[in-house]
Amino acid sequence: MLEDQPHHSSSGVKITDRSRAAWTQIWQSRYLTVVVLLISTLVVGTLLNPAFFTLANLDSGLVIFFVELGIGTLAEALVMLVNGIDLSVGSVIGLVGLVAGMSIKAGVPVGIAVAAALAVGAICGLINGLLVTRLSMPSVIATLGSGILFGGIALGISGGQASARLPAAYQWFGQGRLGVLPVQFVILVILVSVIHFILSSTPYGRWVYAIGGGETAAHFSGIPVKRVLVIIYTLSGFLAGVTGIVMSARFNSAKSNLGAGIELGLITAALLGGIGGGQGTAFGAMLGMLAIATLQNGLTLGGVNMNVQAMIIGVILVTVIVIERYLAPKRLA
Amino acid sequence: MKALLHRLDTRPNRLLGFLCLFVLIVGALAPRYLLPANLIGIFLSAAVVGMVGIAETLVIIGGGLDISVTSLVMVSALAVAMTISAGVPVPVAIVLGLLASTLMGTLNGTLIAFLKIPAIIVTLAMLRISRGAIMIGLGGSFVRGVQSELGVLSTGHVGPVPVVVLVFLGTAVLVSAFLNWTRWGRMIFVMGGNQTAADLSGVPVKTVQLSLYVISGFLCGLTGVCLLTRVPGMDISYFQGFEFIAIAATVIGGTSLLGGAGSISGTVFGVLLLYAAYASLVFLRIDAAWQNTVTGMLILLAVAMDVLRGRKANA
Amino acid sequence: MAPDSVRSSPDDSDPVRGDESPILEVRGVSKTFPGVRALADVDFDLLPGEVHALVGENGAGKSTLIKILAGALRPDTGGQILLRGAPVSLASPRAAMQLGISAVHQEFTYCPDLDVAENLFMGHSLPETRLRLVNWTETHRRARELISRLGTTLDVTVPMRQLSASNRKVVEIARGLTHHADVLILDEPTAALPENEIESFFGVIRLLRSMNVAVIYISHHLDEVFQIADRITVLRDGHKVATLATNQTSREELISLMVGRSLSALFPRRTEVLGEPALRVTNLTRHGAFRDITFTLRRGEILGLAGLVGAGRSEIGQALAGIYPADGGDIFRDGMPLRVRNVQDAMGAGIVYVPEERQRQGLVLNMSVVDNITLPSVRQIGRFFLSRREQMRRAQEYRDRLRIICASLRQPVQRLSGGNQQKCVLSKWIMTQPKVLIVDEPTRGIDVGAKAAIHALIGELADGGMGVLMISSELPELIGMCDRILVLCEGRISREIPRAEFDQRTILRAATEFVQPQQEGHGIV
Repeated sequence: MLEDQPHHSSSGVKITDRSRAAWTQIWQSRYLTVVVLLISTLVVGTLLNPAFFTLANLDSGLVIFFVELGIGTLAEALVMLVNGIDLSVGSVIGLVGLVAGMSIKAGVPVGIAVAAALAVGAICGLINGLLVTRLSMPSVIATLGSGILFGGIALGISGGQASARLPAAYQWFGQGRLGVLPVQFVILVILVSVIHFILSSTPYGRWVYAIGGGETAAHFSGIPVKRVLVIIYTLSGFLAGVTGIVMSARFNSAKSNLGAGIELGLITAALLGGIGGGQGTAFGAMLGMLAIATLQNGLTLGGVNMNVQAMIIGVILVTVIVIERYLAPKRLA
Repeated sequence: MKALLHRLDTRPNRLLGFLCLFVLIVGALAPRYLLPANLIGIFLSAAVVGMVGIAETLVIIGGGLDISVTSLVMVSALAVAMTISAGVPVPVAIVLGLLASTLMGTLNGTLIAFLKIPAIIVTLAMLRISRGAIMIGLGGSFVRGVQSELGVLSTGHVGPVPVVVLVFLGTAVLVSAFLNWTRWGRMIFVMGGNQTAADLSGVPVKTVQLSLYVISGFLCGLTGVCLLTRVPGMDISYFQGFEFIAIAATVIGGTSLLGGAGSISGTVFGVLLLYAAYASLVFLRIDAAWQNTVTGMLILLAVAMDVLRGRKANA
Repeated sequence: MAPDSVRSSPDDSDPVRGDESPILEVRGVSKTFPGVRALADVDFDLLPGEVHALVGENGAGKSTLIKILAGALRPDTGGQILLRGAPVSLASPRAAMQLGISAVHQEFTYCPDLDVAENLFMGHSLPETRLRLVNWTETHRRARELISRLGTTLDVTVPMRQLSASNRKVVEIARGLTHHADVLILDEPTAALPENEIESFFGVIRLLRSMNVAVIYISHHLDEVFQIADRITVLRDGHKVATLATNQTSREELISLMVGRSLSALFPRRTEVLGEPALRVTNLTRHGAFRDITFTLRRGEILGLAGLVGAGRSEIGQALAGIYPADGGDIFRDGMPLRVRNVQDAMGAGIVYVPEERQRQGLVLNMSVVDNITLPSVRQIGRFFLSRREQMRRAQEYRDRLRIICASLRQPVQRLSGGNQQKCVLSKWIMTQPKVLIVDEPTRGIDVGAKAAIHALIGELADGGMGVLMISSELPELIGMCDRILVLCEGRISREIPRAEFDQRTILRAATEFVQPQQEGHGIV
């Protein structure tokens, strides 16, 4: 705490050694963990399988993987920014993909099917938002229940069947290219840029950070807290929906369990990227996702089983939190 | 007489009434539903998940949440199955299984109570971590079931009632007694009701919180043994996703997700209702794929009712 | 003796046994929070079987001292606490309880879904049978006995959430009695007790006294203190000012000691030109908080709002600013009726509220100074694009104007001292160019220098034509700054005091006016 003491400099801070200040900056940077993880992953991954660090893999394997999870991480990160947690992302992914797939199979034009499916995703998010604001349910419980509900609906309307062999127009979302870049990569870049812009350069972004950093103070400051929360959850549902479209388009198959179990990775990625209540940026979340995606890609190429991969991510999650809580100081929003 | 009726009017009892009504109505629509074979089948299916539900209820009453329960069940089940197959005597194997799951529960509890990491994150991580650990141990192969080795546990009956169901009901009675008749049990209620008040009144909050997860781990271990009596074999992907049914049963049974209030009997009736509902789907010719929707809707309904009635910790 | 003299305690035996050694001694205990010294070198002792009252204004340090004694806070190093002559470390509430110190806090701490009996024993003290099982019969019996000792009858099997607020308090007090405490701390125990139960409550206190239990009794209600206490210790600004025997002092003297004569901060001299009514409020009501509030605030006027904690002052400010809107009544701005349903409505009408709790309500702690200061104005700076440069420019303007000391505008506001944080909160609201500024405890927890600066600022703003509603518990501040003072008691305006009649005693008296209705023989004016 700074005291208003006359013998301090006019800026009130003890002047530190320049180099020490730089080192402290790096140590305190919220991106330290991510960078460390990323580098070590690249090293380990290449050791496990030399094909890892090749352009071919980076292009078709890693990037694709990263992009899909990246959009999902954005969805989760938005909710975490306002001190919530979204356990229904996986179910929404499955449901939206399914709605698109089944509609197309039923003869609906691709464009309309996609739009309708995305609307479904947004509605799922809206339901979450209403549960949290109108019924004052803690987000953990609301999204736990809604996740089961959405997953159940997906399972029910599909009977467990997948909608496969979808038209090329739809597959384009997951397999096409715009110039040299994969379509979903472009989609991700657009989404991240838009969201980053909103968060960093618009007044509404300040509102979001304020709600996450101090909901009471935000309310007292005239921010329409409930309205913003509902919008955030709806947007998150929409983003989960985009992920569902892209993933089912790539697999050329829409099944209700498409996104099952994805939440752990998304939450870990967001946390790694510095997202917390009232702090973090969209790009930071992407960095976190990059680390996780690289890790998973490397492990897959190294022949490591999915369950073990999940285990490693689980360990990382707990470790990150312990580090955050006990070793790293408080960070600026 | 009126006083007696008033005392009987509790959520679990109302649930029981609803359950009986439900069974009768479905029975009227599809008479084969009421066949003893079906009813016992419902009990059997409900027994294993019910035990997980009991563990979950205990944790939730204490103000916590445990999503890792199914993985802990698997850890114990696989440990028991594999050691029996390796020639270890059955009782020793069972002890090993219980030890394994209890240890993981202790790990959960330590991280939550002493390192203050949110329960949702610890148990979510543990859910995946234990599956991964199993994977490493198992390598994807199929584990042969040990129903025959478990002998009387698998095939025994007391009258028409299978041993497993008795274990389930017995566990319910014991845990209920623990919660209602011991100091520690009441401290769990106190902590779930108002952790600050508990702390200020001298309740050893950290230790009580730890105990929630240790007990949960132990009960999951017991469930694992029961699970083994029901299946001819299993692999890594078995028993996934049932944690939500356990939570659903807890919530439907009247336990508040915010902690401090609830009952084991409610959970028992809740899980029976859920499985009676699932079974009815078959008899009523409704696609069984709608099961999860039913679960999800019931959870949200029950929680919404609780919240609307104003179950907040401090008025 | 003066008319409002001490009511001699009905218990004629002299309660202070000078020959016994103290059961509890506090020596040189201090407690510092970031930016503020809550307790400075306090000495205090407690004799067995005595009722020792602790009085002082809001913020004097009473809560902090008893939190330390109850084990909920650790004191700064350097002080000592002795129990029965031996130094002790009260590391936790549990430790304090095991040493025989029991506390009944002001805030409700109970489990709403458990019944009365269980809340008395909180699990770990439940009576057991030989088999280590809970003995419910015995539990209910003891519970009934404890409750009846307080002169009430309650169904001990009823869940706490179904009880009235005053009954819940009774249970909490009874809980304090269950643990065979040698020292019982009561923090504003009669706050929720109905009139007719206070006397029987005192009966219980006297019973405890005869059982040699020592009671530390914190209360704003000086009349109660004179009825029940043997000795009184006065705290002011974190210091112990005096310890007196009850029968050797008077209410007058206590009040003087509580408020002190040190007006160390000079209040700004102001132009006395008052303009048109900026704000008119009629019959403003919010259930459970305040009732029939009617007043007018003129441009250029500083209107003070005094009263005890819990009288409803903050709630009025929050209602006017749209934070927790009122249920009934009318608000007029410049003669035009207003509907204030939320903060945006109030801000649009130029009414803003600088909150009491700056860290929880006034600032987003992990956000930067510039973000905090511009928060209510962000949409105004740019509807769709927020120019950082413009943000910084505006923040810079206020930083200079209020002389906010911070290393950089981008640093988290958390790191600033209390005074500078408060300046940030003020800047934030002044930036919206309000017509009516409501400030709630504007200089609480701030050192003298910053206080003077904030007072000067408020004076300037009023001189510039702003109407200011000042809510404060520091009487010298109100007296020095305001043109008029409204005194609130139990949610209603009890008195309006013009400048000519400003007097601390008058204010305190009006603040406690409705607490005990006029009765014969009490000698209270």
